Amino acid sequence: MSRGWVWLQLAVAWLPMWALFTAVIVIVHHSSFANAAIGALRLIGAAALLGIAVYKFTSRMAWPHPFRLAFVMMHLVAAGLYSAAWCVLISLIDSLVMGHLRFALGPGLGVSLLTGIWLYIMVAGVAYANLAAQRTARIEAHATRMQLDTLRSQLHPHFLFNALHTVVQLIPIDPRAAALATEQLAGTLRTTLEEQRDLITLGEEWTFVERYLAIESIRFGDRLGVTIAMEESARLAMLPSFALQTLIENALRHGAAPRIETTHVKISAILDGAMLIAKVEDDGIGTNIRDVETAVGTGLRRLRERMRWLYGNHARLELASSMGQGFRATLIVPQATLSDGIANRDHGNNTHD
Amino acid sequence: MTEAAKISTLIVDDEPIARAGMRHMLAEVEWITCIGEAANGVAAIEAIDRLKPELVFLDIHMPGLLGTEVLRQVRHQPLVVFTTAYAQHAVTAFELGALDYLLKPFGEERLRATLDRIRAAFGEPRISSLDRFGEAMSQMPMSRLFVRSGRSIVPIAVDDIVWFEAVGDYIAAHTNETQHLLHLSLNQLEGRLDAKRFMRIHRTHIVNLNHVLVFRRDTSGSISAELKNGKCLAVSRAKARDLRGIAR
Repeated sequence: MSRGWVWLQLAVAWLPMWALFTAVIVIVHHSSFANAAIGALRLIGAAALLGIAVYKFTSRMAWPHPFRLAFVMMHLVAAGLYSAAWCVLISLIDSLVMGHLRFALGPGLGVSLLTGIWLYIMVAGVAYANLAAQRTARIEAHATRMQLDTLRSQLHPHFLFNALHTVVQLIPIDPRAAALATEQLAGTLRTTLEEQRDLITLGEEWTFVERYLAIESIRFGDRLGVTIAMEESARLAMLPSFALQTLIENALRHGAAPRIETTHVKISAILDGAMLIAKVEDDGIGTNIRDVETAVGTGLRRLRERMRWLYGNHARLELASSMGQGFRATLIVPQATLSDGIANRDHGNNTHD
Repeated sequence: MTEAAKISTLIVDDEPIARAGMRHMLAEVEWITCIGEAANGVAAIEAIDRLKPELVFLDIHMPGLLGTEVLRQVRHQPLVVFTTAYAQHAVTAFELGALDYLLKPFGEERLRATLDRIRAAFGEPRISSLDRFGEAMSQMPMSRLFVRSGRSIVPIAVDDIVWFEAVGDYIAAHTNETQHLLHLSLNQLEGRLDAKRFMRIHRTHIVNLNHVLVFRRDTSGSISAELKNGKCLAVSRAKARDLRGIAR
């Protein structure tokens, strides 16, 4: 957030207070609106200026858990100081305007001091509310990061152990194939460990998925058939990292792995206007779709949650299946609403022309 | 070495490379013969009951049926070594009487320990302390001897042994053709042999009853065992008394 934006917010926040004080002065002193507004401005201006110090003070004094009396005492002292400083500052402004020293507060010193304390409590209250909001935002950001971490961890360890077993067994039988499988496995592992971005291009995701599929194809042998239909223009579309892999892994683990017969997996991706539509279909054992929709902690569920963090209501993951009828997952993610996504795509189009 | 003395083995795994790799590793083991493969649980049950292997390398996560379920459903009960990437089935596996639990990935190094255990289970007493487990796991009487010949290990069916003879710290296992030296005591051996077929007839002799033609008493009253191959073994006085007891 820029510095100017912060000042504007501060000014806007104090506006209703200014209006309130103006109204009070008009009603109590029967003065003209203009005079009342100017009088209130000096009160509120002084309060706002000193309020900056209060804001800084509260950000240093974290809200105590558990609550402590010392915290209240500190703020009572601070409120007294604030209030006194406020009264002095108002008098100082008056003195400067009038050209001679003046110490006369409208409603008297007692009421002024109480008003000062009241203002202090307002400022401190807003400050703490703001801090809490920031903390929540940080927690949410952390949660999104955790989602990515969890998603990443679902690849190991059994995929890794089985893939390593394949490599070990291949070494004496076909050393060349063993070396290739090792490269693919290392590539897959590197991506899962190092990919930090929430959104990547379909092309990047596909590079990852290809390696993953190569290893799984060795393991499944002729029990797995894969068909790919990808629009070239869709390669630069953005989607959540590991999204396609999650869908494919789901098809392999739940559709193909339990079957003795060959399972066909069809992967397709098209760009439909401002939407990327990626589809993973299999003719495996299928499942009761209601079980999938209500299941907790599945890869699909985690992907959905992550999509909600990343796109709000603008992206969808549609699932269709029934027992013995295979499984179809359709990922629909917007491209236009994401500024960096558009930037990347424009860049891509330019290089094509 | 006869082919029959080798341990007949079945490989069960849903992954073709895993099966090929196991077959490749076992091909270098002189005392094992692979008699088949199965790629899923249902096929495994069929193959085990049809081929009646003595040993099965059994994957756990397979389409159709878990390896642990396979073991519950077969009629023929072979010795089983589970192979899996999942550690959490180990307890179930050993409850089912598995001989070993190979965690993927594994190569020849880890397999070697399993092979030692397999030999212990089939009849090689006291290879190392580790293989006490294999020995303990095996409820069946010894069916094989594994004799080291140069760098290789040769399996000998116990049925082919005519008699064991204590020679100093060693035992000589006599077949009709040859004899093999084993580094263990006659007392250790006696405990692992099938008592219905092998009899301790002397402080230094255990004889295979299937190879005895007749027990004969000579004029001095001492008893000897006349073997089918023409050889005669002395029976000690104490054992002769036992024999007479059996005869009556």
